[in-house]
Amino acid sequence: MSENEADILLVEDNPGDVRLTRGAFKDGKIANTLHVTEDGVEALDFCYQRNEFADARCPDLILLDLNLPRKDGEEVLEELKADSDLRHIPVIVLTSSDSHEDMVKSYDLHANAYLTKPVNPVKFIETIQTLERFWLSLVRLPECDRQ
Amino acid sequence: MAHWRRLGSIIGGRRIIGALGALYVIFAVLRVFIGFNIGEPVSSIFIIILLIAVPGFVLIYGAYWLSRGDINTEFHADIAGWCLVGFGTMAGLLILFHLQPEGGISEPLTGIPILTALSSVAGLGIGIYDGRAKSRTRQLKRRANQQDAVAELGQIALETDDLDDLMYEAARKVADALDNDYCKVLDLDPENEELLLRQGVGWKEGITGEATVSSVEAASQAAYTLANNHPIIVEDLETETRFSGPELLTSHDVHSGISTIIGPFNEPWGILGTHDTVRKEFTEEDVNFVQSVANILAEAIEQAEKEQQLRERQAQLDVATEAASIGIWTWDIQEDVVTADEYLAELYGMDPVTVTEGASIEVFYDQVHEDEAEETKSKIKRAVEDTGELKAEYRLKDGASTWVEIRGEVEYDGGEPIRMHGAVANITERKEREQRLEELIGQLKESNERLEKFAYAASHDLQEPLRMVSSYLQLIDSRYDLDEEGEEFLEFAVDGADRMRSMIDGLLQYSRVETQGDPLEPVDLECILDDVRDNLQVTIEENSATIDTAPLPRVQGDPDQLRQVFQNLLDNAIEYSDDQPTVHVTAERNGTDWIVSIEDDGIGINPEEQEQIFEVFQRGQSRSDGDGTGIGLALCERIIERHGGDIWVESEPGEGSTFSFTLPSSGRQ
Repeated sequence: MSENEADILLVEDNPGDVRLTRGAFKDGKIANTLHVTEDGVEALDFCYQRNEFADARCPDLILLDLNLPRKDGEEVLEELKADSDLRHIPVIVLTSSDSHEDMVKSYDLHANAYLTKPVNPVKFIETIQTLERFWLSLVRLPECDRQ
Repeated sequence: MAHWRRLGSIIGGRRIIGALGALYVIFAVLRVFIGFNIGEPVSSIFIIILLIAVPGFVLIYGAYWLSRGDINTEFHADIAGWCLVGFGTMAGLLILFHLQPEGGISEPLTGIPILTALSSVAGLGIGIYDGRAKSRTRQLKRRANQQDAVAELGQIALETDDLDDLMYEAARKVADALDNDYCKVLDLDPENEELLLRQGVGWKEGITGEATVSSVEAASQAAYTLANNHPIIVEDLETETRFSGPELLTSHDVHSGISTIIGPFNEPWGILGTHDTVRKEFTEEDVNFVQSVANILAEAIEQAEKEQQLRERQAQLDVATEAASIGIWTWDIQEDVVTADEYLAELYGMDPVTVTEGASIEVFYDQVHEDEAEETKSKIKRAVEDTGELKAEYRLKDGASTWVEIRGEVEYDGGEPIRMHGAVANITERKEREQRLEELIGQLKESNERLEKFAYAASHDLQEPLRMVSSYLQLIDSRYDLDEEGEEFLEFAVDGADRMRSMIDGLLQYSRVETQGDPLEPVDLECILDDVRDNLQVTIEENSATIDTAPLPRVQGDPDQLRQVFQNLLDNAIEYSDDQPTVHVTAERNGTDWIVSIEDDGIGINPEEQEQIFEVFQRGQSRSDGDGTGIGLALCERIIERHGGDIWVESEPGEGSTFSFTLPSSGRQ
């Protein structure tokens, strides 16, 4: 974590959810920067620091929606976990799907957690803040190699 | 001798002998009477009586004996001849002796009768001996003739296939052998109770094949024979009392004859009869002879009938195989020769001569399409070596458009395969139909899967924007201070979003009944109902409902889905009822199925709505609280259908409703 500030990548195409998540992190206890990409291709570009994200920093935590344009969440998860440089980054699947198969599939692809977005916005914000507390303050994470 | 015989045959041999004997007896009586008158001694009278009367009696007895003896009547004249020769010779010798110069019979009235009587008896003895010998020769000859006739007829029966020809020959030979004028073969027609003169000899021109005789007992000799099941002999029709002489016989001046049955007694074919115009005796041998000929005819007739049946069956088979597009084949496995009929040749597009005369099985293998050739060969091999039965389908090499099915059976002899025979049918049309059907089923399956995928994807993707609507409506509600009207509007929006969510959930479940269901397993419905009761505890308490359950069976089912069915139906039963409803759950056996019924005393369903309620988004009578998505019953129907059952409702508005569904029994209780 450079400069004691956490870099979080949110991969989400739904502006309503981006708005809610951003709000939740803004009110959070830990200093952080929330980067947002709207599809799977951009998310991978960000992680590999390609194209417009050449200057991007390696994220400390990735929040990944499954249902994404161009390249869906499962494919992104698969590629990240197949890469030895990136597989240590915790990936939290955050989706509106409560399907049992989606959940099983995500863990098969080595997701670090699977969460269903609560319908109630208050609960949604609480969920994000719980995530933040756990992954950014409680858990110890390794430094990104690419810094 | 010939002279005497002629005399004998005119007057009658026995009469001559009897008359001669009577003359001697009368002479003896006169001689005794005279002797007493002239005072001859008793001893000489006794000797005279002994030597004249006794030979006389012997001659009379001889005449009588001949009528009962085994000598043919024909030879009676000869015997009489011998008798007269004996008499004449002695008489001649005595006359010669008497006329010679030195001689002279001292008592010609005593000596001549004594000597001629004795010589007549000697003549009778020689005659009887001679007659016997001749009779025996005649009999032997006759029997030999009969045997020849039987043998010849047997041969003809084997050679000819013309029954009428054989019958005519038989009639001719019987008449000849028995020296009769007539012989006839009568064909029985049981329906019309008459016998037709089928063939015969001796009868008037033009009646063969036309004349009939009644087959009713007592009306004719033939009918009497049929009724008595054994050969019947008539010596003289004029004195016959057992039956009357039919017109056919009387018009031909028939007096005697033999009738025998042709064919088995229980199912006679007809009568073989032979007759003569004179009174005649027949021996047992004669009867046996006629019966032997009748038996030859019976066998030939049976054989001909069998052949006729075989020809008819063959003709029927030909028609049937042609109509059914079936080719028949036989494979001599030992010699490797396959013979088949013309239809098979036509089907296979082969030379009919090759096919009907036979060829190696390889020639026929060559006609099989290469894609199925190996499989067909191995199936035939397996049939020959193992199963004994063949069934295979393959295309022919004619551009692969003709499909045939072959079936066959192997014949074994002591475990060794000898022959295989069977049929080949053209099944192209059936195959095409099957293929079209399979394509259609495939298309339907695909279309069904696409629909399910669509329903799933649609409902899945709808959830995301809906969640946005709900979330931000709640945010507006919590963060902004709205006036009373604003609050009211917001409430409608939230309620709409909530209902839409339930509908989407329902649709998701509905679309996943087939694809996401668990395999069917034995399920105890009692346990299912207990779970559902727990789930509905709040609803039950709020409505003070009573659920009354009869013992429930084990069925074959998907527990989660059955739970869903019970939950939806019980929930509906409580929801669509007034306060404190009572719901009855019962089960009854119906063959291998169970019928489960859930009966409420609620508001009921209008008859016109009863069909629709199982359709998606169709809701029963709306209630003020407007709850329900209209998908519960559709989901129930789909689940029951997946279990191979039916669901239906019986309802009387205002009285209540009974929902019933069938489930397969689990096979054990």
